[in-house]
Amino acid sequence: MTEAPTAKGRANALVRSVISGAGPALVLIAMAVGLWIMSPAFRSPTSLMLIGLEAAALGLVAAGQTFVILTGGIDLSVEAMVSFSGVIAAILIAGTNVSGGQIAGGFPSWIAIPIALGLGLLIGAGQGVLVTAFRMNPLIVTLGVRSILLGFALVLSRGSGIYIKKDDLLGFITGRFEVFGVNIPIPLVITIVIYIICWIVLKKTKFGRYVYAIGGNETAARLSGVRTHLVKLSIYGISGFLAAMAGILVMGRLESGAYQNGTNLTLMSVAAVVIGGTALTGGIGGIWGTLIGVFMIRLVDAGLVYMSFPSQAKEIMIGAIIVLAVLIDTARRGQIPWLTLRLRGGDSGD
Amino acid sequence: MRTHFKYAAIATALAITASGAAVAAQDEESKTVGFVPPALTSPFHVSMSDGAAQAGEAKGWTVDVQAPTAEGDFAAFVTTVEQLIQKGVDGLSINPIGTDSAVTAVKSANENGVPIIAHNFITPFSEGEVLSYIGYDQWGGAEKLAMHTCDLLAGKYGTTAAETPGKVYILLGIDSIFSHRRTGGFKAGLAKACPNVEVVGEQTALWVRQEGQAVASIAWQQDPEIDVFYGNSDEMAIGAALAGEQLGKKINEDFFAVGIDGNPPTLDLLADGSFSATLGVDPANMGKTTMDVLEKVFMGEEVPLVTLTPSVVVTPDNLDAYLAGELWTEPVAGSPELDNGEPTVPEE
Repeated sequence: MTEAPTAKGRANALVRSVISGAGPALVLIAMAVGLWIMSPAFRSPTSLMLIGLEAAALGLVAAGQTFVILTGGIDLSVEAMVSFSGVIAAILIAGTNVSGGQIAGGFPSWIAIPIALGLGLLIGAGQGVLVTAFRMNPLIVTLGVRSILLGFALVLSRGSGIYIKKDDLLGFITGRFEVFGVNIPIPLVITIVIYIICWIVLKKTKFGRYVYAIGGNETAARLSGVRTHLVKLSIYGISGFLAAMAGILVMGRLESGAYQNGTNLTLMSVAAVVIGGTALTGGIGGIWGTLIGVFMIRLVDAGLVYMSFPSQAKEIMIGAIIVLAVLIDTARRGQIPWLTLRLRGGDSGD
Repeated sequence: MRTHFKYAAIATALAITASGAAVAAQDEESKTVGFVPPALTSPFHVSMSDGAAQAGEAKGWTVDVQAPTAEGDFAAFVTTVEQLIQKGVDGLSINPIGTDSAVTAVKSANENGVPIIAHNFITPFSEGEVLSYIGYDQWGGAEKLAMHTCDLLAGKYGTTAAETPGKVYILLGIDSIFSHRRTGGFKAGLAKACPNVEVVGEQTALWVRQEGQAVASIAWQQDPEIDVFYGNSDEMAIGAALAGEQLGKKINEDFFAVGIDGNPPTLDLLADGSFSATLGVDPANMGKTTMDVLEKVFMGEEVPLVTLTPSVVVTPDNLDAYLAGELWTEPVAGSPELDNGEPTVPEE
């Protein structure tokens, strides 16, 4: 059924490939415009700032998750890592694990934050060791570690949030700056920088190519000389590190390290990755799609509040939008034989 | 072009559903009030929100109830409060469940000049100005429930509360100020009213029914003579009641199950004779109280820093009166609750 390549046909193909590549972004823009028209409150600069702020922590977690999913794995421990690193940093900064009204007395945040991030990296890499050297299933490993980390966060914090006073560094990291009357949250800037780094790593380095190769066919990658164990170990380390970073942002925003700080982030990060066009089977996808997925999720969250949507029914909407977005993406790839949209060629998102 | 259509379809679907739920336009005189529960995943918070919404609407206000999808999603909680401020609410009542987890939300309301109160929460934040904390005294309530438990045991053993023996097992919620207060008050009540009764064990059952059932089953294997399971929440105690049934024990004869909350499912079980007693805190009326306090704030009246709402031990005998709201007493000014192992209201 191949058509003869006419000029018109080529032009159509070009338009299609742009649409298919930018699909999720178009949905995101349509949603934002709709909300802009319907809700006056959404138009305030603060509302936009809030979405950026909410997107930052989820964005970091989802960036790590993208790496893991690209190799065909999954990291279910991320939300626990967010809680854990926040609790660790908060206890170090507060200098105590008793909740309520500490006036510092602990370490400055330039010491506390690297310790929390370092632990995130080590624990993440530790999971990588279990997955590779001990050949354990990532689903089980990260589920187990999730439980362990949440348990530690709970025990260390004794069940209540550790309240902290922000020092200059933490105040800066979680602060905002104004550009043309719009408040840009620093956490969002940090997240965007991380995405740029991730994009460079994935697209311009050998390491990035190995990540895709492992996700595409691990055995083939190993036989062609890729040190798959080392790559996967690093991947889980990166995921742990980025989740710990998100933990610092959430803790700083709440001025409190509590074992619940990471609630919902695992599922949301996986959803963002998949909405963004990365295949759960690995090997296909990219980092920018994930960022669009993150913003889509946060926009839906915010939209439901601005529209006074009944809170009990929120999960229905969120779930429905996730399923729809993935359905459309699957159809776009032409993977549903009876629902082909004839839009092949835009496989990798970016 | 079908792709276009698909993407437009999601956006439209979202728009239609959301606009259908949008609140009606309000006139200039009426107030819009934001009410933020930790989540609407339990009957307790649903009935409190309903009570608040009804009371607010009776005053001619619009009550915008917004909650995160999961309890403990603190970041979403704070964002929801800030979004309500962006929507231009005239007042806010919030129920944070983590000590200090909502400090930034309170500060945000303060900066924007929106009066803010807290409900079902009487532990003041370290920072930020909350005009009033509205809630019940968990310690005192648990103490009352313990004293009733002593009477139940006295009945079983045919003696007085002061003399009765008995074995109590405590099902703890997730370690928090809530579990600490409810456990501390209960133990204090036992020590006062029936000093010979022994607490033979305490284990967390994570606030939920199936864990309560699992923990109680194991506890009975270790000590078949346990007389009472007390749950920091009703749900865990209900789990214990179910476990007893499965082990062939008869509730209210062989053993008792008591808990805190007074949720509708518990009240049904009480009516049915499959539960022993609960601490009813009348969430719907607590919700109404928030609107009454906000009204005073709007009128510029003084409000107490802590407003204590009543709690009452609900048994099959007074269940009807409780359901009819006859056991509700007017809230009183009280003192804040601290995680200090001492009664909330100092004893004379």
